[in-house]
Amino acid sequence: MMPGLPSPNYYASAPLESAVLDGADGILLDSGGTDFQLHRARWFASAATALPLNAILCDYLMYYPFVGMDTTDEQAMTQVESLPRYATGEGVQMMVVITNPPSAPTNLTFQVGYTNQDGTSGRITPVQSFGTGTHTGAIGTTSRTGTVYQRGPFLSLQEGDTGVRRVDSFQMLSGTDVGLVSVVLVKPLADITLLEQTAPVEVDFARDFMCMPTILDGAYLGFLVCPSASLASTSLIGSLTTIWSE
Amino acid sequence: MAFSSYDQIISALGGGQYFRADYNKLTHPTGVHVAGETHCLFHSAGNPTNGVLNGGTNLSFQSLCEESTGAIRHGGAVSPDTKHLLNASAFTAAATVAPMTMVLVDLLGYYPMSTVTTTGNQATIHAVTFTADAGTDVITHTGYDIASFTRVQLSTTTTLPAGLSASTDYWTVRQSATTSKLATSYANAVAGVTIDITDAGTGTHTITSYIPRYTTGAGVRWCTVANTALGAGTPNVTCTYTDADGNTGNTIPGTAPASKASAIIGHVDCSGTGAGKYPLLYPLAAGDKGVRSMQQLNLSATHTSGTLAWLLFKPILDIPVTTLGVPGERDMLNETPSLPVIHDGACLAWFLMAGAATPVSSAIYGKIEFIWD
Repeated sequence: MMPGLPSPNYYASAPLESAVLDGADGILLDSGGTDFQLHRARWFASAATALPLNAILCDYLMYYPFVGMDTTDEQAMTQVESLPRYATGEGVQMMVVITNPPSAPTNLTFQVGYTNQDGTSGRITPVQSFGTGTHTGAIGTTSRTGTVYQRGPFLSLQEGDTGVRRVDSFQMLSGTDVGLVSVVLVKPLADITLLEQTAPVEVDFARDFMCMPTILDGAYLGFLVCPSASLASTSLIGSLTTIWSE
Repeated sequence: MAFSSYDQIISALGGGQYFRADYNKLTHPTGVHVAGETHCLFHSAGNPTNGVLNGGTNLSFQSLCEESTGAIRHGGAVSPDTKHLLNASAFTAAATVAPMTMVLVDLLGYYPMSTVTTTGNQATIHAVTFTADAGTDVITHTGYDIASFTRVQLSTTTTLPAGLSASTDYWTVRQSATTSKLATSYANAVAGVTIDITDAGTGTHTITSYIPRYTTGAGVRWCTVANTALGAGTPNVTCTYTDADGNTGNTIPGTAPASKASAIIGHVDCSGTGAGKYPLLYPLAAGDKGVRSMQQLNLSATHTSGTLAWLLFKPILDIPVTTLGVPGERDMLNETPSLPVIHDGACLAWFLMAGAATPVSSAIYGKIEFIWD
């Protein structure tokens, strides 16, 4: 949701209806209609305040917007679209992105109902807690450094599940707040850390970690970042190099 | 098949023989991890959800696998292919969690001990007699609640039930605390494909459990973990075990590990600083390469309350996390060439060796990538 190149996405579409993202609006990588491998990543930051910073490159698959935090009623999702890639949902993770800031979300709990990678519906996450994030674009379950209930970006799944095929419902549990969130489905692809301002970070995925993540044709690429301090007015600049076989 | 070239690895990656596991674990919600102590994050909230190590009959061997609640999933069984760990990372942005070391292990199983108020040797349970019902294919084994997907072998004084053979690995599918069905492989057990038993056999039949992986015990280590908070008391913790060569009656030498009074859930209770403290790997008898099974568990004094899990596990890799906000990363191909094998059914879990006092509910997250061919 951050300004720059690519243009920000605001998760703006019909409330509670699944919507997909156009890969051309993300970090654009054009392979001419085929899947490809991520070969190298290189980037740096214009300011040191937020560093070190850990980032996860994800393929943003689908989202459910305008989910209200102001009711404990179960909010059912409408399935207009299905996953454009990773169709079974294997390895697909869920995260809750704040689109309209709440006022005091810390420790408010919620659960998400979903269909898992095997197509089994009626799955439900363990009880999740909101963190301290109150600004647009924050992943709602994370918190500022040094506060309790610091969590990772992805929601825990029901025991035994390894992915999400679609989101079926969202329900606040212990209380409510003003604010709206989007439940976003992503496929994590690669991890990159920015250490300091004085030198760019360069990762060769063929030699470092030997993983060369596959990027499927049409992927909408974007980064999740976990900064050490404020990212305000910081530019993150970089490049991704990919390869593919004919 | 082991990888023998970069081309083979790239081919496997391109062929989808790859799995990425994202994990996120929280430290204890009310107990601070003291610097120098080690904690088992298998019990911790997060993703995967918290597991427990106190199921089954007291002092009986309880097998663990990828299907166990709390295990980090790694893509399921791939046999006849061989799965390897490609790389892993661990990251925290929670204050004062770093520096720390994360240790990834394959948890093979445990002996739950609710009798922490008992001193002296307590015999473990690996075997009980059983009867078979040909109509339901169910075996009844009163006195030993056997976890699903436990590797077992059968013996008899006369003739085993038809459909079953002696000295052959089977895998259980738990039906109740006293009943199970049997499968011919781990994969079949997970899939629910069980053996058709066609008669009850004759004589007295015995079912015996074994560790599911690293079957000789080579490289298998042991420790104790507080499965529920322990009460007062600082007993020494010792055991008698069978080693990787099959020799029985082995005991640990030297200073016995000393348990901590009031250890919190997940604490490797003999870890910490001072005499009798071991960070994770409790001692073995001189020359031993590992533990195949444990026969006697011994507390020299009592804890007033709580439960202990006596764990058998295989260490896989460790990741130092030195700096807040900077992930620790391990490349198991180029950086530390080893490509550890991850066996089908491995129950992967993290231990956290605290280098600083770790606040409650601190998050550690990261990913582990696997590849197979």
